[in-house]
Amino acid sequence: MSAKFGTLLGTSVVKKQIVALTGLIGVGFIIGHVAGNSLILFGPEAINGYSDMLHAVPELLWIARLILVASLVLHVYFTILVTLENRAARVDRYALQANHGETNWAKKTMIYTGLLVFFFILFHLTDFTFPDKTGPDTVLTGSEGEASYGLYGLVWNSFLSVPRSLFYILAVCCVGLHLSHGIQSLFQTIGFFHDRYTEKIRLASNVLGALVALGFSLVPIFVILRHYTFGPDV
Amino acid sequence: MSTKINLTLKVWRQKNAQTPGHFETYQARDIDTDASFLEMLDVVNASLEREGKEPIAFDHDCREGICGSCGAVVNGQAHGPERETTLCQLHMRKFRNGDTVTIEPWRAKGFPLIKDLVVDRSAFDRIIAAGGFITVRTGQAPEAHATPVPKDKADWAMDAAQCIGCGACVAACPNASAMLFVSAKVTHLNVLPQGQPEKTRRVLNMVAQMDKEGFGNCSNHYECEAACPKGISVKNIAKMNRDHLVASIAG
Amino acid sequence: MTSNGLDSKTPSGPMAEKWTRHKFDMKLVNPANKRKYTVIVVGTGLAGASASATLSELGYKVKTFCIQDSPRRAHSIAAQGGINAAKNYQNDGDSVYRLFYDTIKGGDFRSREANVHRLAEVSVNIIDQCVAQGVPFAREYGGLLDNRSFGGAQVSRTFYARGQTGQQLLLGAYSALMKEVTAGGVTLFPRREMLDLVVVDGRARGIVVRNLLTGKLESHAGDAVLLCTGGYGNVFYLSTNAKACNVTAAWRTHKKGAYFANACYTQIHPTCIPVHGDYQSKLTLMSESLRNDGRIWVPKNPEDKRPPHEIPEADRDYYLERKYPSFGNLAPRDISSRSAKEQCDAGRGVGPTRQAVYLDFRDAIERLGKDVIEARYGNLFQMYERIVDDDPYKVPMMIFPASHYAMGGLWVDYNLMSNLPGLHVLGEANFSDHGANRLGASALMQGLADGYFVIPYTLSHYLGSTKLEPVDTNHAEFKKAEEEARARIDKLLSIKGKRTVDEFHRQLGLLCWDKCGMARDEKGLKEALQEIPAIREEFWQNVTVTGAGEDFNQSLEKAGRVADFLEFAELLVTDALHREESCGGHFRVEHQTEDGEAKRDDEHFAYVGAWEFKGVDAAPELHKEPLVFEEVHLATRSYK
Repeated sequence: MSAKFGTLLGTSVVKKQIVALTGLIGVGFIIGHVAGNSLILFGPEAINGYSDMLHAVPELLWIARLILVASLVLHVYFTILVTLENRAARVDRYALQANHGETNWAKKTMIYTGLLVFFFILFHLTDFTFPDKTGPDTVLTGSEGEASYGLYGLVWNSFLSVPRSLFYILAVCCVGLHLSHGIQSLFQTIGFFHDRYTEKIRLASNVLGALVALGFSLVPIFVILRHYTFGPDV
Repeated sequence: MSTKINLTLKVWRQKNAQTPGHFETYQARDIDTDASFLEMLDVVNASLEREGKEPIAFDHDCREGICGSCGAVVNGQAHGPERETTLCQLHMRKFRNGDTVTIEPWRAKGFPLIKDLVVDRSAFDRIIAAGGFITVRTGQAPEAHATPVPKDKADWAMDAAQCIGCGACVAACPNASAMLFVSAKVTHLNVLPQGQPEKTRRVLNMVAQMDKEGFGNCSNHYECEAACPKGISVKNIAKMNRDHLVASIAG
Repeated sequence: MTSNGLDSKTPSGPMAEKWTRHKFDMKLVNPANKRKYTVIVVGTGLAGASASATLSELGYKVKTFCIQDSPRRAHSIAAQGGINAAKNYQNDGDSVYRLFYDTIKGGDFRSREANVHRLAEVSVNIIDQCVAQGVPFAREYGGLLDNRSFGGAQVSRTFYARGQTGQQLLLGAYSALMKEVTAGGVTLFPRREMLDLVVVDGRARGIVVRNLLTGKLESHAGDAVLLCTGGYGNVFYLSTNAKACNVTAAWRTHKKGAYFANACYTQIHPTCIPVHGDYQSKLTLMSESLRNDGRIWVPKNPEDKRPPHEIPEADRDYYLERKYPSFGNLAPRDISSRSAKEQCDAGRGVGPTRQAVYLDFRDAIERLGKDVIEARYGNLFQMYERIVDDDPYKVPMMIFPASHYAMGGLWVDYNLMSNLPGLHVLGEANFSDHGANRLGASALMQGLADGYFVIPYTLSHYLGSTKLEPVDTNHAEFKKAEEEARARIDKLLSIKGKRTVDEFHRQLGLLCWDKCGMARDEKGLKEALQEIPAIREEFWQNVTVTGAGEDFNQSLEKAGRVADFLEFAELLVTDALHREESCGGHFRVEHQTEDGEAKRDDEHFAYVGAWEFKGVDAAPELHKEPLVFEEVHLATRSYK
């Protein structure tokens, strides 16, 4: 059994399917994440309440985190493996190569957007996940008083830096681009193709990618716009 | 109506796999636009032979787009610029007087070079040998009408079975993947009732052999479908992925 | 000098029972002994692939050779139309006997009855076998097999897979072959060209091949040799055959003693895309099915230079409909081809070369609508447009006959064995089943019949009834054959002349086409017999073959094949000259009825003409196998 399992893991199709299924988990997470983030628009109580809810049962949170981390590691590991194999399969390059299939920028840059997103995730975790949600960083910059605004305050302070916000926007655009190809691709890889629905999946995939980029970008944009129009007060 | 054109050819010449190759430039003069691409190469080769030089080696046979022997990357496209057309059926009226045409062999680890534009595609035979068949000995067959085949299944099988094994899918794929070729055969046999008993073995064994031959993975760029002279659909790849998933879990 | 000593070994008994009885009478080889025998199969078309697979399944050790890079590319793959079988699924009165009768009549009463009957009998098994292999034949909505009708028959018995029946059948046989490669029974030798047959103690015991990748000569020994190497249509240079199709294996075998039969029976297919330039390398066939809806015509006035759509009805000559009112545009291949030639010879040909006739779909499009025509022939119209750059929905197609199939081939007896013991010849390479004219959709049937259902029995009989001494490739005969092959290669490479191989091939082809093509006469044939040796002589003094012998060398490959065509062509012409009658694909101008139809001479020529090689510059010796008709009465074919 284990020998067979090992053999299967080495199969090109299985490797791609692991990438697809771990990607699917990531997509689910990202959609939830975007939805959760949007609560920030409704003020500190909404987002902090949501955060508290997630932390209510630590065991569940850790199980979820483990699944996510495992998915991420597998996704990245197998993608890099597959990419290296693909490079090796085309030993010599063509002097001229014209594409006439459906290759586009999003597809060609999957590995780069993916790597960028990976490092961004590490950065993002140190930025928002690991820090203390009650410490001085959670006090709104420029506001009077020492009241902690919890996660809300942390995010607010962080996005007040315009370059940092721009970096975040760039990063989430990569996420969007990655998803726009990734979602349609994963359907093909796990074997779903339908003469009528596949076209719709492709469209939905592109729309979803754009929505994710937009949804994530809303937060820094909201913070900056609000801060520079209404000032630090909530 | 046909006219005559002159072309500059940049052709990959390579004596054998051990010797490094290079581009050689030739002038193709007075080429009739009604000639096929291979007939244009014939003309160039005849002039080389008259000069005592070795002609450009290229595989070809039926010259009517069905045997799958011919193929080269022409100006960066497998089988040249016309869709669903093998190199032998590409005609010179697709080119303009004075054009420069770059001609390269299929380049893939799974297709080692033999000479000039000729590559070794025997990997495809080994993949078929791994499972691209239905095990039925001569004489064992039941009456042909014993098993009806729904028309949509028969049509899908036929769509997939049209593959001519030319290798353009591998040549065009950025990863030199053979998924379109392999999936066309897996699908052809796996959708038919006759192919059901060996469905699981077939997909596992053929994919394993494909990997062993050094082809890359599919990253869903669909260059293969665009290059395929027979218009084989990438939906066959999805079908193979599905069969493989089921086979890995249940098989 | 002629002799009547050829024994066809046709079994006795009633026609319908001959094969069944013969199967019982033949010797068997014990299963445990089969693996002690090595069988050499040359060629992997329908006949070669099916024979290799089947013999391996039985337990023989099989060595299979092909000239292409993969066995899947053999030229059977190009057959478009379909495969006949007497299934009578249409309930339209078909039967084994009717398929047998139609084939005998279609062949103009020049085939061996017993072979044809066996072919019709096993035709039904072929369909079963192919369906079980997964060949995706066209089906109806109920899931059962569809049939279409084809020339020369009044029933619908043709099974098809779109316009790619040959491809699908070949891929079926190829998959069976590859299954046996995996099972270990077949060893595959692709990119090998057979250069000689090795005969030891009067029996075929091996072959010498050239490895086309390395250029090295290799010898292979075995207990029997099966030649499945196709036809010689490329003797005309321009033909619908693939470029690698050649007569070399058959011819060198002939030079080793195998008789070559009925070489003059060549099939010229009426609907091909015409020649359009001197650079042209091959002709493309357009399926015969086009004649179901297309009307063939030429302008009445040879001087009429108007574009076709401006020529009014009154000025058009629908010559097939005029001459053959009951069959019209669906007259058999030989008749349609000859009529097109007649029109062109009379100056009424169309197109830039005036060597074409119109095949017009205007009326059919008016009657049925463009959609219906597109559904029926869309892929063919597309192919035509790609090659000719004319839109056949608007402008009539131009077509002209082209060399397509060789009914003649190496002589074999009922067991498919040549006069050389141990040498078996299958498929188009033999002469046996189609007489002087092959019906559409019968070539695929014969290739698979020979390979799947005939040779497994008859080969056992040969091996089971013959005591064979062990022979290996160190035997002097192998060394001799290798040396001869090497000397020939060295000679070709040493000439370093001025003219390319293709130029000679073109010259020979044109000569054969003019003098021994669709219509032949004594004067032309005699001229050809003078000219062929002259071309051959120049070839051996002035051909240029570049590159090295021990290397991948396509010039050298071609040169060897053309050298053999240059010898074979003489036999083709000799056979045509000796056959003082017109039958099927062989039309002697001197022998025609008042209205220009073929006139057979059953009294003097109801025999198979099998020629024995006597030397390159010597006249071959004719051996006759009389054709005895027990079942079918000799009659004049009429399609009026």
